[in-house]
Amino acid sequence: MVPVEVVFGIMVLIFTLIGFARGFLKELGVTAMAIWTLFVLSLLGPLVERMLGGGELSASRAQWLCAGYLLIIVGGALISYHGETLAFGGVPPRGMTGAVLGTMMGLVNGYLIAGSLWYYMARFNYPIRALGFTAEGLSPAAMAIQPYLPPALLGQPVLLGQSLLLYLSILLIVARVIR
Amino acid sequence: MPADAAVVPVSEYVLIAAALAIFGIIGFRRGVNRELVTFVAVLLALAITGLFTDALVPVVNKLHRIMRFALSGGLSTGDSAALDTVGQIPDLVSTPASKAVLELVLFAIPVSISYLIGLRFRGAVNIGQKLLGSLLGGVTGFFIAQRFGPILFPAGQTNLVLATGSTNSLLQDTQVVAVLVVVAVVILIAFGLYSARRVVKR
Repeated sequence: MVPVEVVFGIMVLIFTLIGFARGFLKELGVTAMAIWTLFVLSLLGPLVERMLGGGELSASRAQWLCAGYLLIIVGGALISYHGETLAFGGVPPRGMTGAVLGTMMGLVNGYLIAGSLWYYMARFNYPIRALGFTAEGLSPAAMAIQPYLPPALLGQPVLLGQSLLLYLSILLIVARVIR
Repeated sequence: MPADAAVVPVSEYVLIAAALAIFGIIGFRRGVNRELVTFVAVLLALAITGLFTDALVPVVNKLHRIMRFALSGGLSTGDSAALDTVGQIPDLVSTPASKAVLELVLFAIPVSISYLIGLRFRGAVNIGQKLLGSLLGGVTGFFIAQRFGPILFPAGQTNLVLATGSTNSLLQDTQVVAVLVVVAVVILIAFGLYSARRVVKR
């Protein structure tokens, strides 16, 4: 099976190319949706897990929870990539600047979406065997990358006990309202 | 160390502050258009050094031997003297220090090229572009300090009391990295929205 970090890298590359093709403003809509989804998951996820019993999860329950998280992230990505509704208003920047900005936002979206999928698989110890990933087969590179996956990195409390996801969500809401 | 040598305590914060200040000023002067190119190059350089340094070590060593062989006369000498000489020289990149230098070179090449490419872009035309350039320059400076700091100031090689161990721990701290990533993304978003023209309703 292909290592998880290679699959993750390929996904990020594909999202980056998509960002280049779609342009900055459309990609920013996807970024906003991804950040809001992660913020909601970081708030409601622990509550739902506690309601389902908390503590040590059985294998089947971990599998269902992991599948739930993955479906929500994929669903959010599909909604945000489909149509124009979430795109920010205005005429996107043109020329080289526009291409670089679109590509960079595509890279950010790739990191947010692919990284979140990887994070939730890792958090439940890769319970969905059909995907072909196992905790035992992780390379040192994969182990090193895991602390930098979006929910782990952006979910840390930084100011007033709140995570960066909250501040980013507020910032993107303000930007969306202004535009 | 001589008895009268001055020991100047420099904490990791001074190193980071210096990098932020220098690159912030450069970014302010160059503007966000040019700094964006450098920022992309820094990300590329981090990926190259992280992924390819180990793979490039044998290639660099072979190229070094080929060059030395050519300089020693190569095949034109007609005997095996040049080959024997080359066979005895040690690998160019064989110690952690020489590998660190290779990393520095690999990091510096794309970043230097990006500064030259950036000159082709329009400089800052107003204070907004200058401020965004300054912020992006600061982020670039942080990543450069992260890569260069522990190599340029290894413990025991300078009179400056520089706790590179704690520098490393600070620079590798995921919370600091998270804040830096978010700052970079916010600058990108601000610059993108600033560059995007509004649709005028008639």
